[in-house]
Amino acid sequence: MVDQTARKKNPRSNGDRLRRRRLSERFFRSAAICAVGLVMSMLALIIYSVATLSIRAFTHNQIVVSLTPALDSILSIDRGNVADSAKTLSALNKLVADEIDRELARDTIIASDETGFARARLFAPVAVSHIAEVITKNPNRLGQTRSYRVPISSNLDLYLKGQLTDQNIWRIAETGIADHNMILSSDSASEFKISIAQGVPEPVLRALSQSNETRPSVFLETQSAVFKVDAYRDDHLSLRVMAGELADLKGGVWLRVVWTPAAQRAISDQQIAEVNLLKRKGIIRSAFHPRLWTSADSTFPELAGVLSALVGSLLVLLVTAFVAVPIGVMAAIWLEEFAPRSRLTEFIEISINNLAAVPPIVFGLLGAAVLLNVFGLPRSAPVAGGLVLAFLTLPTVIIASRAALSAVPNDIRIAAFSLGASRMQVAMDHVLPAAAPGVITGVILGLARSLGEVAPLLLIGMVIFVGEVPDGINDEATTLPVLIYKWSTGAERAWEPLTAAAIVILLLIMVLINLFMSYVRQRFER
Amino acid sequence: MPFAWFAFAFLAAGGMWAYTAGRVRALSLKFDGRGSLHSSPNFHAAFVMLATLFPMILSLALVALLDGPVPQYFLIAELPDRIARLPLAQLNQYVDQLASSAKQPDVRLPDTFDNAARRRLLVLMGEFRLTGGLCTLVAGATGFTLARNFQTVNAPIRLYVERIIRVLFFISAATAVFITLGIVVSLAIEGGRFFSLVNPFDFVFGTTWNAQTSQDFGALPLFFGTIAIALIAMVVAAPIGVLSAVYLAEYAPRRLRNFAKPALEVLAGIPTVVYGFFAIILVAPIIRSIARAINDLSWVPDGFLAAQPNSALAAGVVMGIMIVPFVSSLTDDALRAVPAELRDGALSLGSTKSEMIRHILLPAARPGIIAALLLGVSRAFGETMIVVMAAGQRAQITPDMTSDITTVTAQIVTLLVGDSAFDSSKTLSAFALGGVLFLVTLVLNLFAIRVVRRYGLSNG
Repeated sequence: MVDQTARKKNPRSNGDRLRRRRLSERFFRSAAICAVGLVMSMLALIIYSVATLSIRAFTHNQIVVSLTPALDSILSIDRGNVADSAKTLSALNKLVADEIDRELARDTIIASDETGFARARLFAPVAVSHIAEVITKNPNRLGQTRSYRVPISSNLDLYLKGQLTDQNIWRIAETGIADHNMILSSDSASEFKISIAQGVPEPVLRALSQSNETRPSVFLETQSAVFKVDAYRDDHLSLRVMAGELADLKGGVWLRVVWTPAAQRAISDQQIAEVNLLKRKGIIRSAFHPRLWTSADSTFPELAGVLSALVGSLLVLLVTAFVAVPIGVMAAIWLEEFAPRSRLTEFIEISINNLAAVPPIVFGLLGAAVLLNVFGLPRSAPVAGGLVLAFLTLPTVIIASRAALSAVPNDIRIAAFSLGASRMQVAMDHVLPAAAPGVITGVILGLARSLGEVAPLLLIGMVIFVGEVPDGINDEATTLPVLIYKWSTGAERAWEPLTAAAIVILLLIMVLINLFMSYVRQRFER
Repeated sequence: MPFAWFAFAFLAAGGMWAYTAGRVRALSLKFDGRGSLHSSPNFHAAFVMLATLFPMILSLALVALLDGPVPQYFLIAELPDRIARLPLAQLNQYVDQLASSAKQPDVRLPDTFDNAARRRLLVLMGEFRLTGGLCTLVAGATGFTLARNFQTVNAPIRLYVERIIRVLFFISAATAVFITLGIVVSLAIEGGRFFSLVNPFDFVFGTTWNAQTSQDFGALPLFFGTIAIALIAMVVAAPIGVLSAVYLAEYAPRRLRNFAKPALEVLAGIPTVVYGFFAIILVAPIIRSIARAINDLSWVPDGFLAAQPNSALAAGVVMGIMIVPFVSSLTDDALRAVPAELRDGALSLGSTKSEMIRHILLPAARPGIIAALLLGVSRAFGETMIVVMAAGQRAQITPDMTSDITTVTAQIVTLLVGDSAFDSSKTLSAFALGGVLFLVTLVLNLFAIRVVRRYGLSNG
């Protein structure tokens, strides 16, 4: 009433009010849209950042060498068995290293600085172990020349992918070099001078003029050799051979500046030179690297895979399902179909609802105190992990199954009762089949949740190094999400893409489970 | 554990045999012509199977439980006086060592007598298991015979079976109570042991936490860290969660809703390690560089913000994103529970949509929304992986949220990873922390559950 009189008296302020109300409507609405947009973009950001990071882990730079593992070089392989794996490994290492030495002409290069041309490590010693496995499985390969692949060490791989350092490359055509015959300096066979007609690029000069500690490394590369550029004097670059043999300058030369100073990166100048030369020669190739799927955990990122963790996850999931599903479904049936209205029932319901909101880590404490210390279950084993996750999943399964059971129309119950069915027959023969799709969905949802759980498993010791695929529920094991956590704490940069790749695998599995779930649902509802 | 597989096979074989036997007997009764059966042959079969399996399972459980103590008891009785007369604690320790070394019988012990004793222990264990197996067999046979005696034409076997299954159902439902009880008892016992070593007052009000190296158990910095990070998370999650629920329930066109709801579910289904990794690789560096930019401003004193690589802010923000779908779906339930009449009434009186939402819908759904926020806080308190990965390890009380900070859950993990013996105050303190966490979340949960139940909303 008051409003109406006010409106009549002062139409202008009324218009103002309307405008204000519309403005506030628009404001509220856009705030709500922003909220939804924020959530969606966060989801997109998470998936995007993990996916782009993971791509790097699916390919790896590998040394492709042809080897002739003869019986005498791998003496200890005997009728399909590796008798002495250490000896085999060192023999294979020597074979691969010799091959690389030949490609890089390491022995023809004379040591010119105080550190000498120590063999730069390009791969981890155990990186050749898969060759031993292949030969053990196919003994007829002994004595044959075949090409084998050895993944290079993870830091070098990151370098080649451009992740480890800042660098620039300039190409200088053959004609741009003033003096086609490089002038051998008189005092040493490994030091050269070269002058470039069009002038050395300005950034290279800048790099060379910096003081020693912060000085970027400058390389001059040809098709067959890599030099380090030490200085720029009298219009000449003075060079030192790092790797390879100088044949000619066909195809021109490249000047490479690695801006990150040697002290601040994990790889040496020597390694950079050798890796670049091998890459140019096509000995090192980037290729799909299946180790992520086929190998167990390793201390070397280039050799680590998720296989053992996948098997561990599966074992844990089996134990969880074996315990949580029957108990959860039976509990739900009792609560929905049999429970009398009593204090006891209410107490059980409250404790189930409360249990659903107890932090997962508390279940880990329960597992550590009761399962490990009282019942003496083995530490780090899928039995203990599966039981803990079963406790954790039980409330979810019960709540979901109850929802499915209570959604069954009462007519079904009444009809069955009127035909003389007992309560048990009504529940088991009529209500449960009708509720099956919902129950199955709930069960799978609960199990999928438990698949991603980490915190309780940490407390029962499942964050350990598992170098072999576990072969039972009492064996030491780890699960995929725990492996993700473990890898994410790795000090080396190379663990980062690997962690992302493991996450992608985990998420893919979850998507698959969800698809399967909707398939089951559709099938049952038809 | 081949023993377990053996027991399992034993049970399966016994059960199958009993089932078949029960069924055969019922069928023979049926075709004997002495009247029709009260219960169908399937119930007879199930009855005999249950009657056979139950004593067997009981017996096997007893054997598994007494597998350690009984052979050791007999061994002690046989030991010579020089060992048997030792004080009880030393004697137990000696036997425990023998028992654990018996798991690898190929490894020889340095002492010849110990070797002999271990051999004897292994023999005793074998005998015990054999006896146990025989007892199980006898128990199964007894149950089987008794059940067969019950099998007559008129016996109400179906009622017996239904009663047994009903009891099983009840026990399953009561499992949740047992688990809760297990949590309470284990936390109380281990926490009690901790508080017998450390003054509870010092624990709650002490301001230095240094459990790893020294014996400082002042948990106040941990409580501070937990609350601070939960607060940041809720500052992010509450407005976004509630507003997005409002938008999806009231404004969004159908197509957007059909897309956005599953997306929220996906967000809710992402494991927390993934959020933790996201915090490490993206959020923490961004927050650090922002903090550094603020530090570089001319009017800000040098080193005003800590700008650590791990920060409370990074963990809190990411945790907030994690909680959004949770808050949003519970809020959605609460909004749905508001009667349509209220909504229509407000609109028909001329209020705009946002006025209707703010003055009618949200107040009517307030209890549900509060419950959603409480459950959100409870989750934030208990969330572990994000803080373990992104919040840091330093126990400190600081208003600067760009510095690293630690929480109750993160400390529990650091204290217990790689430790299995619960005899030091260091590991026991994890249980005290867990007890506090359990109590706080319990109160929040019970309160929220009560609100949810009173207003007839669906379960959280």
